[in-house]
Amino acid sequence: MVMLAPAIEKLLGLNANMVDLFNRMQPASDTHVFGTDELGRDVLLRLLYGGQVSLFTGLTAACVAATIGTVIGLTAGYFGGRLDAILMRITDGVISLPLLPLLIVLAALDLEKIGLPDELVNSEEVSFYRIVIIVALVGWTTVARLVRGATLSIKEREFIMAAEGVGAGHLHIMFNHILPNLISTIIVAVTLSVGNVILLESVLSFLGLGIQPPMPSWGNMLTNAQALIWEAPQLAFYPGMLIFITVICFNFLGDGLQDALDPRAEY
Amino acid sequence: MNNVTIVDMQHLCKTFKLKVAGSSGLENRELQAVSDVTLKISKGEILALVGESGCGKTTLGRMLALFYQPTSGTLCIDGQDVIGLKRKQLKPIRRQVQMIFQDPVASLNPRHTVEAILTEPMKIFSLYDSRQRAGKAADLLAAVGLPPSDLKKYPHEFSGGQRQRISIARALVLNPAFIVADEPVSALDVSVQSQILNLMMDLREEFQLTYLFISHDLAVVHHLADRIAVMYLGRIIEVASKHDLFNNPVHPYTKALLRSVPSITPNKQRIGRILQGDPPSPLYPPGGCAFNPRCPHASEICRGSLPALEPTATDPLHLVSCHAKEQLV
Amino acid sequence: MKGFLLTRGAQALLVILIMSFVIYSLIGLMPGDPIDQMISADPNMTSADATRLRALYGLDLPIHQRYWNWLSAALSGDLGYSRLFAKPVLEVLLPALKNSVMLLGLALFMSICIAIPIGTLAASKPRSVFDYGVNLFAFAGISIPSFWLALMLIILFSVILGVLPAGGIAQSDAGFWESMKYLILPAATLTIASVGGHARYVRAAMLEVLRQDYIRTARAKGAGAMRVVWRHALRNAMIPVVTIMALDFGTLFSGALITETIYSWPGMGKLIFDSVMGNDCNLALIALLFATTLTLVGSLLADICYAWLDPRITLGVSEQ
Ligand SMILES: Nc1ncnc2c1ncn2[C@@H]1O[C@H](COP(=O)(O)OP(=O)(O)OP(=O)(O)O)[C@@H](O)[C@H]1O
Ligand SMILES: [Mg+2]
Repeated sequence: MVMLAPAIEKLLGLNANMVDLFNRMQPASDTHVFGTDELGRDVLLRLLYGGQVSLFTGLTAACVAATIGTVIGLTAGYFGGRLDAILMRITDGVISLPLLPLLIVLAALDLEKIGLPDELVNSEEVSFYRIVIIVALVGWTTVARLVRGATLSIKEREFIMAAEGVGAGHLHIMFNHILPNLISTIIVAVTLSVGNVILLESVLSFLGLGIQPPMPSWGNMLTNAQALIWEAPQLAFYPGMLIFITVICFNFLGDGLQDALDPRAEY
Repeated sequence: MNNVTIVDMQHLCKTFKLKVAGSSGLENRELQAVSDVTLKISKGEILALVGESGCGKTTLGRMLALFYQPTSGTLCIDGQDVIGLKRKQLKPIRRQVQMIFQDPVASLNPRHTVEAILTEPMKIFSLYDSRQRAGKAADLLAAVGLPPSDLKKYPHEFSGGQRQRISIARALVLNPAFIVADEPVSALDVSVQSQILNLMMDLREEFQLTYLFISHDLAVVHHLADRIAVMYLGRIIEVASKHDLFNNPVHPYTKALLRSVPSITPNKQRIGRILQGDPPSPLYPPGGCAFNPRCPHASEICRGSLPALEPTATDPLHLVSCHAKEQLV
Repeated sequence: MKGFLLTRGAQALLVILIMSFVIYSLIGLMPGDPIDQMISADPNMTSADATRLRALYGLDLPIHQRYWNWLSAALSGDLGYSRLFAKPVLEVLLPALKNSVMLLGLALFMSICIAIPIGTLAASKPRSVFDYGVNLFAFAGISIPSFWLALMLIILFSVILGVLPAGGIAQSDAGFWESMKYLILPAATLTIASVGGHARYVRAAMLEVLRQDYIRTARAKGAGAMRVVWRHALRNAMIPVVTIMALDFGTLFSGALITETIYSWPGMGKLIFDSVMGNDCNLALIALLFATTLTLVGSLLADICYAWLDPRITLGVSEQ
């Protein structure tokens, strides 16, 4: 549905960024199915484009987080011992931090002070990269734990020893033998974390720290809506509803996958 | 059979460090899984290693296949001392030694095709180019009796016997001189067992292989061994040619083993159920000869000191570790 | 037990120390430092003045020295001055903490009061319609964006019905009901968001307990099904639940950031947000460290609960 945004745009003969100050905050009508916003832009189209941005950000951040988590979990589980203990302590440490306040600090950082080049700091996508990195920095822990657990059991299987027997090195075993057997675990972990990531992204964008307007995202659409809560309360409804539905779907999907892949599921 | 030694073990030992629940919580203990094994394997022979479950056969096999570092003793493979070598230094020696595992399901990566499994060793050693590798893989598959079309299949598409054939093919990829086969047929149906054993015999001719064949099934051993070593609680207690061992066993434990196999037909009976009583735990080995608590001929000396593994008076190639061996011959 | 407490305590202390350095460095990376702010306030200042001021405040020192100076000052009780509120940091922090405890305490209390009965009911009839309903509800709670929930509640109760204030806090001389009015919506938001998850914990803990042997024994002795659930099992199921809640209370301090911000409830969460947004470095630093410490203490408490309430001990209690 969200992928079809451009097609629907054509179909309705409207433009997502077209400002129409004469038709501000209209309720639903035939031309504007969900009405218009404070600048007279079509809400449906902005929702669709915002969805593209939110989902894309969520999936990207979840995948980056999963990559970090997989590398850490795989390393900890495969090598074990001291390295495992250190990595898992770090994971526990990150889990036990108050995430949201720290995320806000990270989101408020002055990128020029870190020494990033100007063009990058001032480019339009910087808010996207920033949020992906921030969310990935804190989102890898679940994946790391799940992957470590799975690695611990896989590395005891005989085919690992067989690979060692034909001269395979550690990296070869980790990435050619263990990783392919982790795929289902990783899929579950990513599915479970996509929901959280979308929530985080929407919160940060809502607070003005995530995706920056004019790029629409479900989170920053709500920022505008909050300011207009007395004039046009209906504007606040749709973006949040969509976040809610999307997140709950991912969570159900992840939970279902987990049960399907784990025969020990209770009752 | 020429008499070039390919594997030379001297006083080989392996201890595992364990945490055991004791009177005051977890205690650190050492488990002597293999003790003082001195044995030579000559080029081209099939040496069978038999013994009850838990006596240390797999541990010994894995030391020879370079998976476990021996705790003490020396081990030379093809004239190369392998003790204390690092992973990288072991790599070239691995081309000489390969292992066939007991469990045909667990020893093949379920996510790899047969082709990936068979070409992997060549890739690791950078042998041939990719076209030649595929050809070589198909040849090996043919050698173990599978059609080349199976290259694209995954392990779960095969039966247990077929999987063990793939395992054997993998062991042959690097053209090794010595193969450790750890109970390669014990997980298979009886009807399939002899096919695999015959295949292994054929391959020995074709590839000039030397086998260490681990088994607890004397019938299987009778089928293919040249020489047999009997293991009890981590120690070798008797070594002799197959003919000698089956016709005039000396050690009381070996005799008990043989008595338990009424006729030499394929039979899955485990040695563990034969003798009276269970073998002692390797965590708490008895003093003196390890077999003395179960031995009908045990005397004072058996409880006091450990007998050495020495030739019998009549046959210098028949080694026995028993204080009473001269009376028992 | 003592050794366990000591190691865990030392670990938590270490994490706090590391985090204080990390937070200190991060805050230093936020836009604008105090001197920049002075420059913009006073157009006559030259860059030479600025450099001199930097040296005066020690801002030209390398980061670890600045951190060390700050840490020794903070440990001797000098937490600095809040620029935003023009008050010592501690004077700003304590009332905010009081407000947060009030809000979070109420929310947690309501959540537990609802979660225990429905979680227990769900566990006593697994796979029933009610059970699935609770599960669905729990998923909704985890998945709902709390800021949107807050907006919806404001729209419903303030914009449409006009019965409750949209945010803020009552004057200090206001009566009880007047103060409660401001508390209802934020507390309800937090409760709705957390009750489903709590109910799931209760349910899981109950299922675990109901599987144990002594429950079977009680059943075999003829105790009625409901009686078994409520009298025998619930007490034991409370252990993991209490643990979870100890864990939760710590995280709530930061989790309530959004709710507090939307409702302009002057608690810790809003304080953190405002100080970070307003570049109030001293305040942000202490408030963040404080939130970190609380969260860590929460998880430490949870761990202690777990280690303490050894399953064998609880079994003994229940058989009396
Ligand atoms: N990795 C290990 N760590 C600790 N103890 C081990 C390990 N591997 C084997 N052991 C112990 O060493 C002893 C010998 O085990 P091993 O597997 O070599 O016996 P086995 O003769 O192969 O038995 P089976 O016929 O059951 O395969 C056993 O007591 C076993 O518990
Ligand atoms: Mg074995």
